[in-house]
Amino acid sequence: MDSTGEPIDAREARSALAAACAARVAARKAGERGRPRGYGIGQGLTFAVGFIALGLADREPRWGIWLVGVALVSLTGFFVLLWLGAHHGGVTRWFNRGDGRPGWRAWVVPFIPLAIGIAGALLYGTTGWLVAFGVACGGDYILRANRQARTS
Amino acid sequence: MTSPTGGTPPALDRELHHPTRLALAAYLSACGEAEFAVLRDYCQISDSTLSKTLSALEKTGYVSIRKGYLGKRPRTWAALTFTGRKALTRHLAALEEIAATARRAADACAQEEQEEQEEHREEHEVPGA
Repeated sequence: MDSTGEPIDAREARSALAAACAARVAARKAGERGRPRGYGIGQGLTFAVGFIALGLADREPRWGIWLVGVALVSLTGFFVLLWLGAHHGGVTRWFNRGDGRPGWRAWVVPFIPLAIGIAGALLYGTTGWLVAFGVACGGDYILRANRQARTS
Repeated sequence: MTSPTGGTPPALDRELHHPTRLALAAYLSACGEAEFAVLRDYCQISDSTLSKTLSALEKTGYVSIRKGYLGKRPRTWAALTFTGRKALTRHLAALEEIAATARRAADACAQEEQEEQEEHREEHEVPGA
């Protein structure tokens, strides 16, 4: 007898564990199911356009308001596409790599756009940082979308 | 029953005892959130059964339900809360403990039987030698 008030034997415990394991595997598979490539490409483009426009707004004050407007629209589009992409297929991913990548890659890859952004900042100041970071991150989104489309 | 580490053994959770509830909680533990239709198709249960099960789990604080729209279509999303994740982990640990205890008992029983057989064989072999 257990704390639930119902008797449970080892066989039942094993089958319950197997069912839980199967459910987890099914959820992971559903979360990793290939999303249309368009989401990733759209995310990359809107991110890049948004940051480039923000960077140029600093450099071109004459067009500043327009460029900031374009940046806001693009970055809003980026977040909308991010949300839609995450919810595509009815299951959103949980925090696990699950793709057999080595641990160091999961940590190092996100720092590459940051490093490119810092290099841009050292050469051209804030504008350089925004433009370089936007292009690097946008490129990363597009490359990842293409890679996922190839592998799925 | 004591755990191998000597601490308090994990107890089974009454709210997760039913197979459908356990399957739902386990499914939700491996994703951020899942749509009602996806859960219904995975568990192969009716809309009303799933609705009741999710409501029961929501009452205990294990599951959070979010209703919204995707375009013009209404959608319901379910996610396992932090409390639910902890409860599921404890429940699975308790199940593993039960299975492991049975396995240890079976191993001990098999070993005893083997020793008994060996003793029996020796007893029979000695007079003839």
